[in-house]
Parts: sequence; structure tokens; C-alpha cells
Amino acid sequence: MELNELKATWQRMEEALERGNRLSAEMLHRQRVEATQKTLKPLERGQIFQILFGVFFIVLAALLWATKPTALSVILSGVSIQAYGIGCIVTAGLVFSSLRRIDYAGPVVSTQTGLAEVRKTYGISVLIAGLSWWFLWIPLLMLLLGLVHIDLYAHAPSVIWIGVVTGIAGLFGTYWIYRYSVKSKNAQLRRSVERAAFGRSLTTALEQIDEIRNFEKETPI
Amino acid sequence: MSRIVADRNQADFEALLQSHRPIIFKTINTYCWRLEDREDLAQEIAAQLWRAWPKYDPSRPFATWMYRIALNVAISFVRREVQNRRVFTPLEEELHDTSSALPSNADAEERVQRLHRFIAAEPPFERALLLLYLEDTPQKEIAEILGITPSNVSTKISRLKRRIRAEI
Repeated sequence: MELNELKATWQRMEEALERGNRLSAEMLHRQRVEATQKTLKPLERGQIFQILFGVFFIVLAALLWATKPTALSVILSGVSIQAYGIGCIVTAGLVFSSLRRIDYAGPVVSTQTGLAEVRKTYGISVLIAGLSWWFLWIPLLMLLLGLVHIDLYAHAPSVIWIGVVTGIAGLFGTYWIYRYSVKSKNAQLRRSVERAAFGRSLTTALEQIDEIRNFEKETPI
Repeated sequence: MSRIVADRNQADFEALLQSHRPIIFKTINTYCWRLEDREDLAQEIAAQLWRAWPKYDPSRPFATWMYRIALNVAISFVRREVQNRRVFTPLEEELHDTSSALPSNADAEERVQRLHRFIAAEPPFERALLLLYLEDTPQKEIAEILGITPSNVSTKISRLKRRIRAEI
């Protein structure tokens, strides 16, 4: 198709879509817009969920403090869980405020880079939060038992040591699978492992950053 | 007094928005074909415009400001929708939603379908460039809207023209 034909076709397509449009000038009125903009976007919903998750862990720790624990191991488990809860809330808050600061009136490439960077930060925080569960289940179990005045470390220290060893093995195992997939020629496997290890948010954010860099790059004709 | 100024501001913006609304609809036509998506995207763009309006600098062209917001929202919308659905809607299904509005002339219809397919296959940034090119936007303004250098715009447009000739 020649370029003049293309522009004429574009014009025809626009006119045709305009005729068949249910989109009307009415939709742009402030009241109408405000009435329909009550729902949160998925990334914002993710932050709300993360804040609630953090609050849940802080409440668990608070319940433990209410029992006035004396055993050092139980106190340390409470501190770990409380720190995890605070970490969840703080990172969610940071991502939320970064999202609110994004200027949609900025040049497309810089605004989209900003959004992808926020998604990347969120993805990294999810990755850290997820990997920490290789160990975090131990203080959580200690805390839950501490609530009924049982000191797991005093009664069955082997559970904790086995848990720590399993956690280290799990962490190394995850890293090994990732390294193996990076070197593998199987693109499908590489992609699946990347998504499983890094999570969808981080992988997508990194892909988007690459896409933006490629678009920005000046290459000769 | 401040209420009166705010009301006048709102009225000014409403008038500007209505006179420039083809920018919104053209952006939507470039990124969405399913009717429900088109309505959602229109609402999101309008919401973002209303939100950004208090910070609008009147010394800058309104159309450039509006294009930036419309394209930024549309690109984010497309990325989010594709990610959420995880499955692409077959293009034929999307075209079906608008097919009743397409021209009846068989030759013209065929051309529109080919253009439609070409646009749909383009990544989000290239679609933005294509839209601005088809709208005869000056290259300097395209560079300002997209945030890339004018020479990069010129290179990309040349490449785009070559592909259009070869692929459509």
C-alpha cells in the first residue's frame, strides 16, 4: 500500500469507527469520570493486599507480646515476624507513593520508564518477601507455639536446625535451577524458570525496560 | 472567589477537552478494538486528564499535553490488560466488534482490515509513532510527545514507511 493510500485508509477507518462508536462526548464529563473511577488498578490492589498481609503479621507479633514471653528464642521469633510485617507495609507504601508521583503528562518514554521502574521495585520486594519464606516459616511456627506458651527451641531444637538447613538448601537449589536455565538452550524452560523464580511482575518490568531502551536507541537506517 | 475561578477553570478545561476529543478517540482506535475495552480506556484517559489539569502549563501546546497523557494511559492499559488476561483475544474476534462500522466497499474494507492487522501487530511504542505519523504530526512534536530525539523520530518513520510499503 502506498503512503497516500494508507493515510486515506486511516481516515476511512477513523470515520467508520467514529460512526460505530458508543464512545461519546458525554463520557469525558467530570462527574461521569469520577463516578466510574472508583476501582483500584491491579498494582495498587497488590499494595493494599501487601499492607493487609503486613498488618496480619504485626497483629500476630502483638498477640505474642501480650503473652509476655520470657524465652529469648520466642522473643526473637516475634521480632522477626514483626520486622517482616513492617517491611511489607513500608515497601507497599513506597511503591504506592512512587505510583502516585508518576507524571502522565510527561514524555511517553520517560513516564513508561518510571512505571516500569516502580514495577521492578515491586517485583524485587515480592522476590525478597517470597524467598524469605524458605526461613520465615521457622519463626512463624515458633511464634504460634509461643502463643500457647511452648518454646519450640527448648523442646525440639532439631526442628529449627533442620529447617535452617532445608532453607539454605532450598535457597541454593533455587539459585542452581536459575543458573541452569540461564545456560540452557531451551528458551521455554528459561522463560518458565525466570517467571517462577522472579515472579511475573519483575520479569514483565524487566522486559518492558528492555523494550523502552530498544525504542530509545538510535540505530542507523 | 476561588470557587468562581475553579468553576471557570473547569469550564475552560471542559471546552478544551471537547474540542480536542478526537485525540482521545484516535488513541483508543489505535490501541483497542473490543467495545468494552474502548469504553474503559476512554474513561481512564479522561480521568487522568482531569487529574493532571491543575498542573497544565498554558504556555505549552494543549494537543501535545493531551497526546502524552492519552498515549501513556493507553500503553499502560494495553500492558495491564494483556498481562491480566494472559491470553490474547484473537484479532478476528476484535475485528468482529467493529466490523459493522467498517466501509461496505469490498476493496476499501480489505485495505482497512490490512491496516487494522498491521497496527494490531505493532508493539505499543511503535503504535504511538504510527498514530502520530498518520495524523501528520510534525516530527519535532512527535519527538516532544514520545521523549526521543527528532533524528530518532526521523529514522523510525523512514523504517516504518518501508515496512508499510512491504507489509500492507
